[in-house]
Amino acid sequence: MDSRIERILMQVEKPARYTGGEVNQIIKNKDNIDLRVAFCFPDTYEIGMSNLGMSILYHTMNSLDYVWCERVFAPWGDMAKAMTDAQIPLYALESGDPISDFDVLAFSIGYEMAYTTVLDMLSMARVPLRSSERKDLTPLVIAGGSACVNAEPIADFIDLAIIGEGEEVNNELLALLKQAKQERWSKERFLRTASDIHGIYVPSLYVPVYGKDGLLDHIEVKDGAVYPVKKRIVQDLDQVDFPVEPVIPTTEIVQDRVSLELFRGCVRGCRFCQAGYIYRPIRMKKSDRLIQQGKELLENTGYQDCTLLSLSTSDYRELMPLLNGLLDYCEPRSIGLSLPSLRADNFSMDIMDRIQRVRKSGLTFAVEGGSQRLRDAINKNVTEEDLLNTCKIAFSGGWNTVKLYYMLGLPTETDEDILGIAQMANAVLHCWRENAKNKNRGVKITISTSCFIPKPFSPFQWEQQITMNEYRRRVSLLKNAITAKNVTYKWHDPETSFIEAVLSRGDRRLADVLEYVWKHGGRLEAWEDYFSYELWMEAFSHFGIDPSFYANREREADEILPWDVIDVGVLKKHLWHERELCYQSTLSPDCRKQCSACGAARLLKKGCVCDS
Amino acid sequence: MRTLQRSFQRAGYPLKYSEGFNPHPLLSVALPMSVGISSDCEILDFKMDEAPSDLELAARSVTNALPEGLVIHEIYYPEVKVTAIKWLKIEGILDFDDGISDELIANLNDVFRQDTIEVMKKTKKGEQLFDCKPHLKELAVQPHSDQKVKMTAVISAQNPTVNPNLLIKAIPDPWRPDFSRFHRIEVYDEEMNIFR
Ligand code: SF4
Repeated sequence: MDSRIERILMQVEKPARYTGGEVNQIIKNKDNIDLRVAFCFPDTYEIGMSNLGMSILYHTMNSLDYVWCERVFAPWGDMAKAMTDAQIPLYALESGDPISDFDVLAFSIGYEMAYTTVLDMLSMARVPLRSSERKDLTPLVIAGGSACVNAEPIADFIDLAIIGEGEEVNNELLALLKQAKQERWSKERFLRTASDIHGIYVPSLYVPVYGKDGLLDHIEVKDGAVYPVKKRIVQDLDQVDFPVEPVIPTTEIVQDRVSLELFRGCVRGCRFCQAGYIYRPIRMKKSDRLIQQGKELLENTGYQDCTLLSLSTSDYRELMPLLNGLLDYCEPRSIGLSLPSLRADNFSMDIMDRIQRVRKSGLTFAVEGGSQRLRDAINKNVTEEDLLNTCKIAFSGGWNTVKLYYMLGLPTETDEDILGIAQMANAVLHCWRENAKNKNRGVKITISTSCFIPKPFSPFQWEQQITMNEYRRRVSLLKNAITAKNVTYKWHDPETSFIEAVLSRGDRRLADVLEYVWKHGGRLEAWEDYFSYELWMEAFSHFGIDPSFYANREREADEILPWDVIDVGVLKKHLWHERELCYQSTLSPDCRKQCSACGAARLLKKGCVCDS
Repeated sequence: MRTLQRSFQRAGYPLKYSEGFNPHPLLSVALPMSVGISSDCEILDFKMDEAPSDLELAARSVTNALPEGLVIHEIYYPEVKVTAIKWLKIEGILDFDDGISDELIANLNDVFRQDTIEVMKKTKKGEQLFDCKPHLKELAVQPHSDQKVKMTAVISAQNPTVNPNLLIKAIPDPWRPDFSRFHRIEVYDEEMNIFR
């Protein structure tokens, strides 16, 4: 290790974040490889190492013998400062080499609040920030992850974005880059050629033209590039490479456990949920394969916990066989099994009974809306009856903590809906009194609210976000309505949600704002420790940009949206139709009852059926 | 700790878990190290569900499951409690970026030859003046390279614990190194017999 790094490690918190050397890290001989990739995660080691996508793509990229892909995370403030003071550039964990010499800097961006960290990492790596300032073919700066479905705010900084799932397209891109490097292509030639690969978006080939009213007038497509850019998916999840020997952190991370991904996509179609739409079509992994991978992972890692990942675990078709198979292995070894994202409506006694034998955690329900009418409007198909039934089973089974999550500011929400949240909390409390096995232990009911953020590619992409003052008014309305002492109310501050709302539906005019915020110290802003609302407002006013134009403005049906350049599968007209149903408080059937032809199935190969 | 526990698990030698509401593996490090110290000799105390029939094989298998650089030298049934550990032999490399001189070496040796070596030490009751001298045996300083000095010492491992960095703190400003790193060599009992 560089002795300068060794010295500063003694001064910082959690130095294990910065040393590498974990079991199963991939080390290659750099003399034998053609491309070096720095896989950059714009958040801390603990968050990044918990990210399943990163773990998968680290392995798929390293499966190419001519590529060495290494990990890079954003240093915490103390380390970032120590590195700057000691003039140490950002380095990759495996080799300790500065990443400015790498061929590719690949960012995985899961949320908009990470944008300034991307800039910070580029700067720490001593790479020019804007794509236009990087004239050479390498280092190539690319980005992927769910935030990239609308990559416009960071479009000027990246050379290209991966739209959709990266397992296959990343490697196609790397193969092309290898060729381009050998044949000494110009960067322009490479980018134009790469844009023909399905799932690759090269922002410089699409120039937004704004009208006098500030709205997008049209998108100019250059050099005959494809329009729109279609999302890439993996057709068969069982066929694709899945790492059963992941890197095992030596320090504690957020998800210190084995994660198994059950399926991608979601059958439900909650209208506020971007993930429910952008990951479609629905494709599942077979339970026997999952059981096999789960066992191998547990054996290879020594983890004592296993968690099942998906947007809605209860909707996994082979849930029972999967649970049986995993529990047969886990129970005798005291390995805990957790099932997040269970739905209240079909949370069966059986499932709860089975997982309870291993470890008991609190119950968490995302109820989202306070009244049945509102839940119908957002297509969140949970009834109060379902919820209370589930609670009844849980309370009589000895559980005594319940967390209920809601959003305030959903389209069509009224004060009555908000008061409904307090009523539901009371009903849950009443249910506990009636059914609790052991009342001496007491009950803890937590209500949590956050401010709704309209997201691209959801039926609410045209909606306005309520103002921060309106959110605060609704919070105090609810606060005053909650009186029972066993019920705690926690609410998220609206400032972060407001900035996130600006960025998630932002366009390229926000690039200057991002750079300003970064320049003035903005980084790791998903962390309260670092987020500064004032700094963002200062940046907006510096460039004469009105953030409410992005956050609080309702869009017209025919407005050209900055992310129209991307085709995620689900059609715009389907989203609009869903939005109209919202205003009629009408539910849509879930995909299991009836396919609503959302458009996502177009991404499947001929002959394949969605959700089969 | 997690690293160690998972390595036992991976190697197929699961550790015994404590009973109770929040079970944890029964594994402890006799002399926990502060970050940045390396070692040739650490004693782990642990319980297993089943006694391995071949202890040598078990040591090899767990080593294979450990991150590179960590080696289990020997697994054995304890006869003496780890509380009997008293002395610890350490070696330190002290960096002097502006180079070293005979005068520096002499000065350093003088510092440690004084009758008292007092430094402020953080305790549960706050900062207190602490004399390292009674808890120190054999301390020698010698040149290591143009910019490095090697220091060897035997210090009290527990009751009280003397962190080697305290010795650095005791060096007056003009001779204090720019950086130092320590390495543990061996552990001993009260009578300076090697502890096993
Ligand atoms: S194509 Fe049909 S089944 Fe598939 S996600 Fe869309 S609506 Fe659901």
